[in-house]
Amino acid sequence: MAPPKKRVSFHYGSKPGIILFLLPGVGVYTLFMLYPSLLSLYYSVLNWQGGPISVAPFVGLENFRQIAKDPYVIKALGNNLRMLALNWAFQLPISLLLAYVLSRLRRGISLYRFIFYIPVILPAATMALLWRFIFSGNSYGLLNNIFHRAGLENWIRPWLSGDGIVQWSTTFPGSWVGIGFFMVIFLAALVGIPDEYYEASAIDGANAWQQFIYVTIPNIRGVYVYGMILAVQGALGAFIYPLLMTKGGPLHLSETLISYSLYLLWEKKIWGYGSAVAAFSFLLGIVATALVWRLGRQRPTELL
Amino acid sequence: MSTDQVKITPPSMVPLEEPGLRAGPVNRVAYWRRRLEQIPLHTGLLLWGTLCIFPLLWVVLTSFKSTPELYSDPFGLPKILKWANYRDAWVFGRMGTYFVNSILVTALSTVLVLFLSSTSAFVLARFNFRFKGLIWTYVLFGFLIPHSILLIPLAIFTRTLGIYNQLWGLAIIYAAVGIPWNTFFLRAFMETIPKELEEAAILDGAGMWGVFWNVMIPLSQPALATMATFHILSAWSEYILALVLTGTTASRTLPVGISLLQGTFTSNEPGVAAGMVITIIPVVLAFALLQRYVIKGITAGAIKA
Repeated sequence: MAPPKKRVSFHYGSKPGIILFLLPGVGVYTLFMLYPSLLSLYYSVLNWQGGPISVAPFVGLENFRQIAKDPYVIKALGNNLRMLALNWAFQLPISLLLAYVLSRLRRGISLYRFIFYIPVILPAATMALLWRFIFSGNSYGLLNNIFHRAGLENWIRPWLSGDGIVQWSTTFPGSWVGIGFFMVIFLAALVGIPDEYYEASAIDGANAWQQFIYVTIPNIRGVYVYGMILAVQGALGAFIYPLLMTKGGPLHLSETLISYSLYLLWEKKIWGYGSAVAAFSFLLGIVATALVWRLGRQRPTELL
Repeated sequence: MSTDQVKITPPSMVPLEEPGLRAGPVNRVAYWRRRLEQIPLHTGLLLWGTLCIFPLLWVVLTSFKSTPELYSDPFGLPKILKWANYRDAWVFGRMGTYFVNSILVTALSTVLVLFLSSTSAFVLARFNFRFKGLIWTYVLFGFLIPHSILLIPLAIFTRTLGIYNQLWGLAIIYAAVGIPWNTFFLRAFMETIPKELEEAAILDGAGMWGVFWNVMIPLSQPALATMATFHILSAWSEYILALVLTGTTASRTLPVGISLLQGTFTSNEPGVAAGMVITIIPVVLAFALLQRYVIKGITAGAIKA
């Protein structure tokens, strides 16, 4: 709750006033976000297997050297990249397509937008259980039931246990859920394109497809690059679907970097190395974000 | 408050305009072509809408079935509505406790994050002082910090402070991780508020707090509503921090509770489904009521970026 209203002795814009106003927000942020994140980086250079931190030896970058040799990390990273591929090749294009179709509607936009956004706002923990029902190998497994009824018996798969399948079943839901979010962003950008651009191109004889390529795409490029960055962060930070659908299994096949670090931290109590895996994912995210941002800023004149 | 105060709307908060008919129909043929063009569009969108909604309706349906009914015919309608599943989830699954906890944490952390962010945002929007740029960068750095690297340090640190397994402790953490985004958004909004009203208040003898509380906060209401909506939705759904920072049934929240239900209700899938419906209904209702704030918030974030 806000503090009680009181007479303030310091005048508007005075130095103590500024400090007092900044202190609560910056202080809480420092204490519970910045400081713990630095601590985490510190833990990642320790050989800490639970127990008191004071006896955990400093090992420098040894944990990171171990990451490069850990076959589970390689597999987990593969799943993060799988999700990135899904995000870029499926999530963002579908979002843009839906937004484009919505922008051409004459009525019903808000109703569709409402429905498409529902998966985004539902708790991910609930959605993960829902996807377990969908992919379940039990007699109620939704997807296999649908295939069975449609006479597509040879499409039936062990979605949550098969190698080469479970990796997709645990990355797809996270990617699918984000579509509503990106659709809203893209829709706002599409609606913001002035009608005159379309009218001018129509006078020049452009058809709908040419309009999309030469008017729509260049005008939403900035927002699309922003979407690509968010999709990278989403892919590298993903963990909740593997964690709650398969616990990263079977045999760590569907693990992502973060779910694997959670396994190391909570099941194995290897706090030093587990923190290093989380830090690795964090640093990777920063590098990837910077990279996409740089590439996105360059004008791809040769592309259009 | 006079009406011209209410109308202050910065560019980022301009409501989405619904794209209607672009140019008036030139002739009858063009008019009908445009109308017919809408049919395939609606067909595609309805298909996608079904994909979004069907699984949820299936969960609702399942939540009223008995276990044998689910196993024998997962798509069939229940013969009788088995409300006992809801009692199972609410009482034996402790979803009732988790529900109340979720409401408390969400409400408290929303009030906290708005207070903590708006005070900083006000100062950053209005005054020039030394290290302002540095402090700004420092706060925005929080955008880059994923929650997953905070877990171990927070699990230890909250125990040291004695706020581990406390609902208000969890609320503070939720507020803390919301500060960068909320401060960013509120500062941008406050910068668009004209200074005349503040000046009038200062002439009337208002101090810094008076200006903030009686002028800035009322004028920032649209932005505060947007931020509150976002925070409510994300706090309600948050899973991993709640899992790590609470340890007993008495202080678990709904997302953690629903994932535990799955373990305790083996071969009672309808009971799990009932639990899922309990987590879903409040967010869908809240979203239906607050939809415009959500849309505004995401859109503004994207355009600023």
